[in-house]
Amino acid sequence: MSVTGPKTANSSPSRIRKTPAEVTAAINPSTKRRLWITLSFPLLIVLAIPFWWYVTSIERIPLPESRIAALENATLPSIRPKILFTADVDAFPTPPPGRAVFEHKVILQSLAREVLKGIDGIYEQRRPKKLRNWDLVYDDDKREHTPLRLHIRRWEHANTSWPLEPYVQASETGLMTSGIKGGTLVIPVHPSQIGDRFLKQHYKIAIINSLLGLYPPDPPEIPLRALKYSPNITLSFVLLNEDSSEGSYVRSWDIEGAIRDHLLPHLELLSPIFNFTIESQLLYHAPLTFEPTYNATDAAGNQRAIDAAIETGKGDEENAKAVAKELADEQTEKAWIIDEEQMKVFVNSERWSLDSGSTNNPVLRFLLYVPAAKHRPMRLSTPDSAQSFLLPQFGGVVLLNPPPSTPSASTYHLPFSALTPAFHLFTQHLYSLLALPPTPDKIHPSPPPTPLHAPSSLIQPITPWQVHQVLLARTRENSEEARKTLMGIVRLVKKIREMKVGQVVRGKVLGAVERLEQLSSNNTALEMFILTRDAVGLANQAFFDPTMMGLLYFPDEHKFAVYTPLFAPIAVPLILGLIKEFLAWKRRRGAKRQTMPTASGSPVARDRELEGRQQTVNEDASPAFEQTEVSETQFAGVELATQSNEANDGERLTDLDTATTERRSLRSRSKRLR
Amino acid sequence: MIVRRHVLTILGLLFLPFALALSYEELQPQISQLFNTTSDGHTNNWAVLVCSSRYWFNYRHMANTLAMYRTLKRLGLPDSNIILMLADDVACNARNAFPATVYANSGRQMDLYGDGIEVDYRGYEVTVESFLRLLTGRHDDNVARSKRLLSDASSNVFVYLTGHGGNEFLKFQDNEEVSAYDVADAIEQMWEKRRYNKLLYVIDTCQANTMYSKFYSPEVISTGSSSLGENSYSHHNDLDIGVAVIDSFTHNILQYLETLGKSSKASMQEFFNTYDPAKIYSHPGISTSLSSVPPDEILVTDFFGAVASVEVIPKEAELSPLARSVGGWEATSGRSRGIGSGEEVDESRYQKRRSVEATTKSADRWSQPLGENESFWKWVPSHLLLGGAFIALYISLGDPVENKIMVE
Repeated sequence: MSVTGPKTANSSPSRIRKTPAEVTAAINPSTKRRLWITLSFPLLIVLAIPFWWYVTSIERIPLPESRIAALENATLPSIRPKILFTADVDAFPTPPPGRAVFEHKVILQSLAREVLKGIDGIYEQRRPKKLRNWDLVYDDDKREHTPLRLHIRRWEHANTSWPLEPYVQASETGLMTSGIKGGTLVIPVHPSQIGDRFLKQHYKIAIINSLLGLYPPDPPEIPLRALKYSPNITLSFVLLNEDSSEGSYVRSWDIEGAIRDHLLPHLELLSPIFNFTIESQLLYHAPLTFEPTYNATDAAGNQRAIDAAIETGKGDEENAKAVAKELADEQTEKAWIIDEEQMKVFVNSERWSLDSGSTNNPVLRFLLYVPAAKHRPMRLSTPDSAQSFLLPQFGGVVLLNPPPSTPSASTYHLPFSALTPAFHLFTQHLYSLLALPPTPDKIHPSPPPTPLHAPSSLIQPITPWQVHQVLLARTRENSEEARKTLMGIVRLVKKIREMKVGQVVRGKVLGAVERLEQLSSNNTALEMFILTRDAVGLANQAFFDPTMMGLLYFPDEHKFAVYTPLFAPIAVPLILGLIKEFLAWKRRRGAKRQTMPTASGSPVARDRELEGRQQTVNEDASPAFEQTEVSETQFAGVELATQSNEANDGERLTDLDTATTERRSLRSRSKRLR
Repeated sequence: MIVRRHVLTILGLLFLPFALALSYEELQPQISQLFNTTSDGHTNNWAVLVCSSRYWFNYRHMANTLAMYRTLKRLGLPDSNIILMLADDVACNARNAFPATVYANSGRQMDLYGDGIEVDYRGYEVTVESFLRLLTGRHDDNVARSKRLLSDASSNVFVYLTGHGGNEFLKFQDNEEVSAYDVADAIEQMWEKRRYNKLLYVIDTCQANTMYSKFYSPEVISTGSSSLGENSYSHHNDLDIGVAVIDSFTHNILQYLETLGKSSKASMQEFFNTYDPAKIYSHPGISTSLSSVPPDEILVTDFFGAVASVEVIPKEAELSPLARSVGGWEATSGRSRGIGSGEEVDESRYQKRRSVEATTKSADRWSQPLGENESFWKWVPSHLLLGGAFIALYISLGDPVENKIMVE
């Protein structure tokens, strides 16, 4: 702490004088003020810490963990739907005169008892044991109609032979209708059969068989090949011409008619579950990535088909012959064979634009492939297979070769009838890819309203029984998915400390939890399904919420590396200032302790001189020891001030009321500084 | 009479279970199990290819990624299942002497930037955030389908990263970096949401093995180009392009994958066995401890292939031949909008073919714009020149030093 400054005007110029005490006192702020200034910076930092904490903290609102944990172990409540059991009044024999006449309902109930006993017995024998989870009722509930109905129908056009042929009534339009609600399981009985001795057993067996098929004890599993549940699904129908530049290509197809007749009846009943969007397109150039091999087709399968065709076509000689001839042609003919490995790479996604890609919904693609003229006929190598294969979760492919009788032309139109075989397969693809249960074997196709109508060649539309199974299966899938997702969110939030959980996410999680908690066995299948659908939707939204991104992780070394160059230069003067203040304070304290007993005494010889000067400068000077403190501690400050603000120094110094000698000396000093 | 009735009932009930046991519902799961031939039950593959560095001198990273992309497509993975992130567009860089092309070898045999390249994230879209959002699936609602990884519990996901990195980080775009912890957490989130069945993580960067050291999610197989403290070097330069064209680790992977076909039965272990530190100039790492299946039971095509399985529809599903024969194709009248019909067909076809030939010819010429006259001896003058320059340099620098030593 060497103070430099002219001591007196006439002393040798080489020696530097100390700054006079009055100067330092005038320039420097008071000790207190100085302390405040020095402290203000650390104080600011301390005060800013809460703000910094608030701004940089990650919002992590607690999630309802205990409720989610409770859901983890909860099982899906099983529901017990009611099946309405009715019969035509004259479906049972009238008792001979003299015997007791039972009420219609009583007869139904006694038959139902037998049926239930039979089904329970069968379930009992299954391993693992199953439980029947439905009941039969005999009166329609007016408030909520059950979609599941069972009816014994007396019908003149029913088959007169045993066993009875149960079917599920297709929905009918037109004038001639059976009067039975669509979707009812019908046990038809011919009037001539009603008198039969074993009628009751036949009824019982028919009902048990069909109910076991239509209402299995467990809903179907969702296989891997099927799509995961998604409320919106796009179906894309594409007709691909391998190469239309070669001519002989399909230019138009009756796609609207095919979709209307083949698909819509199936999709309509599924509307509470799936929301379908259908698009279709024709591609004119769809090259394969490989060259199929030209080889003879497998003959055995075809031979069987010929035999079958002849067999079934007995009645219609003309037609059967034509079919057999065609098949025989097929057999002798060589074909372009696609083997199983080639099937895997058949879909040339690189070159074919299969769907519009306009949605984020899952897309099922149904590809109708028309090979180029040089590759006809094209067949799959696998024996005993349809000319079609399925790609799990992707869609289905059907090969379409022109029938041999086709006239040669450069362009073709595919009418509805030409599309029927392909759409017959596409419909089955759709069932497979959406995990819809097929109609059980025991159930016969729904007959036309009268024998005058030809039986439909279309696959019978999906029935309420199957829709019910789909509801159950998807409910189970969705509730599992929702619970897994919720538990996943909880685990992740615990695991990843940097992850944000905002109010929106919490709201969605709560919504999902509430919906899952609302599930109870009092709900209908559709209500259960809707609850789980919304629950899984909300859980997914919560999981995929864009705000749920964890902040990036930085190791501590990185943080040091980033912050040190920034904060170190700021911190050095602050800390040094604090240390200086602390030292000064200590010194002051020491000085105080020394000066206390002799109030006017001066501790150091040099200080005495300063003290004297100070007293001459300020008439109303404070006690001497205070002044000495000031002069002692603030020389450094004076030095800095004089060097930086010379001009101001001069001005301020002249204002001081001082002794002339002092003034002179100061002037000379300020001049020197100027 | 009553006895007969009872016997019939009993018989009926006796045979009922047998009839039921063979019913369709019982057979269905068995049939579907038969069809499910894949070893691990995955039905689709996804790939995320990331080049994280920009600027012309990082040409090789773009080439790495594009070469990997090409290989995946060659093995049958559709574009819709490949998410390609390229941080820069070297093909259109002003310094590219071969505009609109990217090559991964010095002979420039194959243009990786030919047709059908679908870059999903490009330029400044390639950020740490977009990469992590892609993996975790946390996008804004308006992000396009092509930018999303729509994988599920039956998907095998392949993640390939290349760029400049260091101990536990990979640099993105020269201004931010993703750490091994972030990637590990993102993969854990994928696992929690069942977004993959198996995940193969391949990274080619300096100290790459540190980038998978923090993984803790199951069913992840990872491999990197170099261990801690090692650099990953480029494989070779192209003197005309002026920069290195490919990294040696990626080059070696691709060399191997190039030998595989779509229906290859090679296992991951065989793939790992091709690693040769002497060729790669660094020690590649392999981590299979998280996977429940050893690598010799996983096919390479489980990750690099296209479709895992197909199900052939049985003949019974087909419409009966009688009903089938009803529908015939209708020939449409020629004159109208067709590409060609009647007598005009031949002419138009002829013209078409000719024009196709013409375009292919010109396409040929364009594919190698400057390298047409390339011959075997082409390298000689440049190498001679280079050698001469080196000798001159050696002489000019070497002599004074020698003198000095002799003086001393």
